[in-house]
Amino acid sequence: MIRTLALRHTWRDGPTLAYPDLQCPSGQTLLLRGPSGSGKSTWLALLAGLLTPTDGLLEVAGVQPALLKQSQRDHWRARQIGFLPQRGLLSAALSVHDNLQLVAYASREALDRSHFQHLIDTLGLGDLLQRRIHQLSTGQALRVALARALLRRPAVLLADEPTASLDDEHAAQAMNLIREQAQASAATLVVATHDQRAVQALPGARTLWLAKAAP
Amino acid sequence: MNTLSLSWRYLWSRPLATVLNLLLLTLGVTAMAFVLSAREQITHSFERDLSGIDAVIGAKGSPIQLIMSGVFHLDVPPGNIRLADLETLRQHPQVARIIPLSLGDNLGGYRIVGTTPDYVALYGAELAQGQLWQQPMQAVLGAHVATSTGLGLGQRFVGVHGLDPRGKAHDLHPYTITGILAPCRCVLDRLVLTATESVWLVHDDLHGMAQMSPEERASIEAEREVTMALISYHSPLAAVTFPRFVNTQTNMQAAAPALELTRLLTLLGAGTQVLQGFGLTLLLMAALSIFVALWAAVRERETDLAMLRMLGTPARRLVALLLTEALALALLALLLGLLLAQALLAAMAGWLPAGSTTLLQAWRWSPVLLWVPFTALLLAALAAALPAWRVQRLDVMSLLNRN
Repeated sequence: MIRTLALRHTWRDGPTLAYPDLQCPSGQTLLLRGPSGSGKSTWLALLAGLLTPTDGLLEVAGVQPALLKQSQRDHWRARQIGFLPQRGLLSAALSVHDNLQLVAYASREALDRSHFQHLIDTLGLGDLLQRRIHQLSTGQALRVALARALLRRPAVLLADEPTASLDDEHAAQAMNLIREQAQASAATLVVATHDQRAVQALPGARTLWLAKAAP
Repeated sequence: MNTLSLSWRYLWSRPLATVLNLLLLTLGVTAMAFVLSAREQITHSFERDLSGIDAVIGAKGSPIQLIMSGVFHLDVPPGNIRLADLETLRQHPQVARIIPLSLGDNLGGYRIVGTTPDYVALYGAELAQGQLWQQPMQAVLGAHVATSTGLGLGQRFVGVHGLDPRGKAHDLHPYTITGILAPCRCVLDRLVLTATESVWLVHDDLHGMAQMSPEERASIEAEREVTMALISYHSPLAAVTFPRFVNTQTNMQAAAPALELTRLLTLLGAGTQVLQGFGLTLLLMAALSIFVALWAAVRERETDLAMLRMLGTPARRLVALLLTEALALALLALLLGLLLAQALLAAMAGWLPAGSTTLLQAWRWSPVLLWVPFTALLLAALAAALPAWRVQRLDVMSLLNRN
């Protein structure tokens, strides 16, 4: 499902990040761990096709995003990658409903109505659709962001430090929710974290350790 | 959701900044549209009123004053000329047509002009109702005068002495309306036309002619005057020699309208250029303001934009999103600005004295106004260009991580 081989990325005027090889079957959960500066975000960006690797092979669901044209890569990302950033990152200018509709805007494809309704029901968002983002609690915002990430039934769900700003109770709830929804969507879950609570919430997960890049 | 609806929502997510930018841009559009329209209408009106007139003959004085009073009826005439002198000019081989004009009275600020039917023919004007005057003290109203005064066929009115509507009324000599002209979009629209003899008759009594002896009356008859005359040449070559002949060989003055109009429009042009520059400055300020607003919006919305990229939105659609935001603002300002400019023109037309009201008219489209949307949309697009360039270079992952 996710396969990397001798994957490297060199930033202009920056360090070269060399990643360990990986073969992660579809539906598995992967923990991406390592100290700050080890290239976790760069690895996620490479996986999402936002960056192209300097060297090596990266394959996601049988596709090498680096070989796609820019426009194809954007379209591929819209369909195959779900992304759950820290604190949800929802647009404060829009309502909950419009934040979810951004997924359709991004891919220029209408949403599957039944799947949309299923996620709304499952994540308990029915009463929140017309609310503005500042009217949501942290937990509600996370559920909206999770629904947005799963609307396209992605092959891979990337969660970047999902528990960073949460207290213990909410962190546990968030990780349970993310794990359950990824399983329900049959998506490969990749969690980039250095939070021990997130690690403990995913006991059977495979871990990819990244070392700090040499200066 | 499409780019237009999304940009609209983003635009109104900052209502204060949006309203201020809209106001600034609207003011710029209004100023520019107003100046362009007013200049175009005044120039066009002057050129139209001058067509077919090669020279204006009148008393010696300022040639511009002669043109302004004789052709456009916007100024007081410099004096009178003797009818006999004019008849001498009629015999001149270079003169094809002479139309005498006698001014002196007004109807509610609209000038009463004693003339011949040739004056109506000069502009190709047609009667909407009735017929031309057949004898003295019959009058034909211009279309605008008829509308403005509400007078109709067969009704009577008295002229007021001078060109000021508050002057003394000639109560003893009422005019009867025999005709109303169809709108000609020329100076005739705002004139009351009658026979030259009507003007003489009204003023003879004013000067107490009834009490004069037959000799004195005969003397006045022999010394009849008109205010000025409009002349058409047989050949354009006369433009070189005829004015010189009149100015040096007679005690009258010949003014060449084309020459004087050029001088007048140069003077007018300096004023309108200042106003136009002011309008353009407002537009540039508005563009700068939009640029600052969009730049700030990109900064504020960096994470939104990064998230949109992450969701699969191509960078060029984000550029389109910003451009749409700027252009939507510009289009809204265009609509408001063009409407405001028309309202301003209508207000100006209302404020102008009665005799000059047809110089400016609202709701008249002119191709020169195409410059307004062109300039406003170009400036809006330019204002969006730098923020759009920045959007294309967003470092998506660091922005998403930063927050």
